[in-house]
Amino acid sequence: MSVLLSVRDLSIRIGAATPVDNVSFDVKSGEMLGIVGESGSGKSLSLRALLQLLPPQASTGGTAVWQGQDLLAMAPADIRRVRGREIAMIFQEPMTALDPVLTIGKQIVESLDVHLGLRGAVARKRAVELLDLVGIPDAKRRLGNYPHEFSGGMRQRAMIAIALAAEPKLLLADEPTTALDVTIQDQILALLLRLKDELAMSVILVTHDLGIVAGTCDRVAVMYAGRIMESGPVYPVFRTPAHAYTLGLMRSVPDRAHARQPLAFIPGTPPDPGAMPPGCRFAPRCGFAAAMCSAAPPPLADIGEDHQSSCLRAEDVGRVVREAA
Amino acid sequence: MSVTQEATMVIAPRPRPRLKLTPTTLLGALILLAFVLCAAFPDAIAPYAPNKFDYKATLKPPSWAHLFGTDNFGRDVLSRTIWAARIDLQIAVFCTLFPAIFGTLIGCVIGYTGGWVDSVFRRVVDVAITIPFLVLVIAIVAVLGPGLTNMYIAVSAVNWIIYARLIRGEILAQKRRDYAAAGKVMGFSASRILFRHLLPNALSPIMVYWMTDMALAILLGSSLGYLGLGAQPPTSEWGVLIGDGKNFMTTAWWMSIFPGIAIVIAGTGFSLLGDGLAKLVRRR
Repeated sequence: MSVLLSVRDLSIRIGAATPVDNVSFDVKSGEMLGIVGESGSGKSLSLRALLQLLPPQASTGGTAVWQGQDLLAMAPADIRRVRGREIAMIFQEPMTALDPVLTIGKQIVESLDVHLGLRGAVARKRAVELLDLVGIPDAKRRLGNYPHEFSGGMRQRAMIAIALAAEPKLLLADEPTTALDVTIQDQILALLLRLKDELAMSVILVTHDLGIVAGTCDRVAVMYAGRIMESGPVYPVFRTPAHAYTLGLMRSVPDRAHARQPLAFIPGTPPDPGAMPPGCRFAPRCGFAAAMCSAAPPPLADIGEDHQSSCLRAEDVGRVVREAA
Repeated sequence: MSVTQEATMVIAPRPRPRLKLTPTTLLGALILLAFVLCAAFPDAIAPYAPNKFDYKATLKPPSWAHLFGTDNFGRDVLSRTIWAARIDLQIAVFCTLFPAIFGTLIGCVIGYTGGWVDSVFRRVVDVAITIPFLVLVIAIVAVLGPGLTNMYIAVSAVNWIIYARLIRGEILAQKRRDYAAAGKVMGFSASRILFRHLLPNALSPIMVYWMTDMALAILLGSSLGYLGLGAQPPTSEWGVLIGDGKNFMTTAWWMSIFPGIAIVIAGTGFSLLGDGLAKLVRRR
């Protein structure tokens, strides 16, 4: 599989803080990459930085190579052509991300007009197809509805239809199901998976839900305090974590084997973005931490096929995992 | 849940709630309708020509022949009041249309751009609202010379600021909403986001204020007419009619009272309709 988007050493600075620090990852064509992390780990910021959607006081470093061009260095007029057409994005809040005074149909047609130059009957026909594609029944009649006449799940579907209008090659999904009911979450994720295959696009799915990543993604990058802790194919990363933080996350997910026992948790709280620890950012909360962990930021190193970890104690973590199994 | 299952739920959309008019809104609409009819067909409604002199019947009190009485030239006050509706509604529209459109456009751009443009605008507003509106308009008319056209120019030069200030605040609020960000993510241009998405969402307070402003414009227009700076005699205009009658106030009260009542009723009509609109907008 060819690499579609290659992010290298992405850093975001806002004032004195660096909420995202030296983040690197690749997105291959046709794959779904999950980025998991706690609130404030910099996952949404990283996503927004790709389309230059950060607030003006933020500055970015590093590169994000897309079709031979660096997204982060593009001129405003050029990045605008990428937005929506080549890389589309959907949000957490389908309730408010649609314009309340325009019908769903008009909003889809507008996207078709702006990106593909489709108008009139052709655009309307395509809009019906798109609504059909995202599983909205009676699509033709639904075009005339306003967003407030749609339920939350249907609005997210409509958002996806609008985002897909220009047939983007990459879809950035920023916690697309967080605001929805569990059953609707499942439907939307099934829809995203289906569309990814049908339209041969790639998806970056940002979420804090490990279960969603395990169920839908091909590869995963685990973020903590602005850095990537571990990345690799979903199965090995979750089955045999090679980072103390990933291990801590896996242990804090409730499961049937440990029913009625106190849930394990990671002590402490994430560091303040303005006062990051000098070495590994997880070291102050880490049960494995040694003196070397606090010395210098550990690099992301290969520890298996397509599997990287930035944990200096990866071997010890691995041993604990094997013993527990 | 499988993909085939997800499409099986069909929820019938609720029928859109009918716009219900409260009795007061309806009353306001009827009042304005009556004035619009007067303005559209004054020659059919008015019993006499507005400028027909009748020296045999000057300063006659209200009677069946002249319901509102006659003035010092024997002109029928009822007919003149009806004909005046044409000029006063014209004032209501022309004094507000240009400021509303121009002020809205300016306010949109200022609210969306923000930054130093916005700071400069806020200073301009601060200065402009310290000067009483009527005094400012009178000063401009005094420079340009009296007459309706100059009055329109004077009012437009000042009044747009209020609209711009209103829409600026609305755009500032709408700009922070997610659909504005979504438009940016979609790669929409700034003007498309501003005029196609933000403006329609920010328009309702403008519509409501516009109604109120039309009532204010009639008051302003008749004030200037009374002072001799607006419509010029012998044009029938409520302010002019009141001004004509001011020298006969003790002997022929009907010359000023009836046009005055017309102003009150027209103003009430606009206010009631504006209130109804405001309620309608707030309910959404």
